[in-house]
Amino acid sequence: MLRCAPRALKKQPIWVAPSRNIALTSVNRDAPATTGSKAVLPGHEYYPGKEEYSPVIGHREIVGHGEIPYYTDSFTVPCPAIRFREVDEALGKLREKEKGDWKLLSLEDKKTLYRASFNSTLEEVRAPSGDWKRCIGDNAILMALMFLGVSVIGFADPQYEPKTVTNEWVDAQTEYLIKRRVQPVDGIASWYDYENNKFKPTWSIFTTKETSKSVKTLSEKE
Amino acid sequence: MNKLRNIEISFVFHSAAAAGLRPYSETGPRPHTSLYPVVSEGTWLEKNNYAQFDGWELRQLINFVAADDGVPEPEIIIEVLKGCRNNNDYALATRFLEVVRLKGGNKMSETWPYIMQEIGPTMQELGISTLKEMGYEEPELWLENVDDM
Repeated sequence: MLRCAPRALKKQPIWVAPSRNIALTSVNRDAPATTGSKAVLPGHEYYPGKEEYSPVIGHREIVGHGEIPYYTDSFTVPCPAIRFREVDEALGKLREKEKGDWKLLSLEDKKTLYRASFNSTLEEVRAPSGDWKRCIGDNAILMALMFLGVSVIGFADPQYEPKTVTNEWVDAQTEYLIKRRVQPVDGIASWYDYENNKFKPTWSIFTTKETSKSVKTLSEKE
Repeated sequence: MNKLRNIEISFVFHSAAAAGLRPYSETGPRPHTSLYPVVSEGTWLEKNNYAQFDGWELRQLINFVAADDGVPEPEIIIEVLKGCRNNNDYALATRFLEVVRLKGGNKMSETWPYIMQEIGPTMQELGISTLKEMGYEEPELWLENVDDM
């Protein structure tokens, strides 16, 4: 109740629609443009409300239904409310020619007439855009960057190396395993000759140049 | 379908009924018929004389044809083309023909030649060139998509 009080004291103005002086404009502009001696190109005839529509559509002719006329190309609405192009002198002459016999129109005239009313044909609306190539290409670039980062940066930094892969760790590990004689039947202890303190020849398949050095040191220790 | 092209309209559509197609005039009442009182006699074309429609009404009709589930009959197409001629609008005629062609959908190769066969004489009379002559059966220009600008 107390919160509502200041609002009650303020007088809110009633919303009034922006009013135009409709009576005056209809009197001043009632006469169509053809009453004067100036000839008007077909497509530039006057209709009431033409100046109000000009910021929306320019000087294009309204031909169809639509409270707010705009132009679209689509198969579901093939005939939009307005023509696409404004009328020039050349197009005006074509329009006059259009009122006569259509057999006298050349193919170029017909195409210009079509493009004056419509931006694209319906086949062009259906034509594929080829956007999938851009999508796959962008994704391929990103994946390549990712692979580059992992292979170069991920493996180069010693911080990302696990310490259990280093030769020192593996040597200490093998020394421990042999001393404990683990896996004597099928595993590592079966490949070690405890009388001569060296590995049996089958161990050579597990060795590289670097690991063979550590094996030498191990056999020299004992 | 080659055999059926030289046969009358009624026979084509009776045989097509078995496939699930039916003539456009038998599909039901349309918004344009509501302006006229219901009359049991007379065909649908006589009630609505499309040739005397003005540009506004023609465009409404073409938008309705594009939204409706069927290919219009050649009689209706001829009346619409005559209406375009009376309104001195050539571009609208080509647009309407494009719509009629694309309404065939997957059966465009069957419906379009039949319709061209039926309306060919009228088109020559009025001076409308076919879509093939204009080159509008394939896309002519590449127009950039608004979303890619």
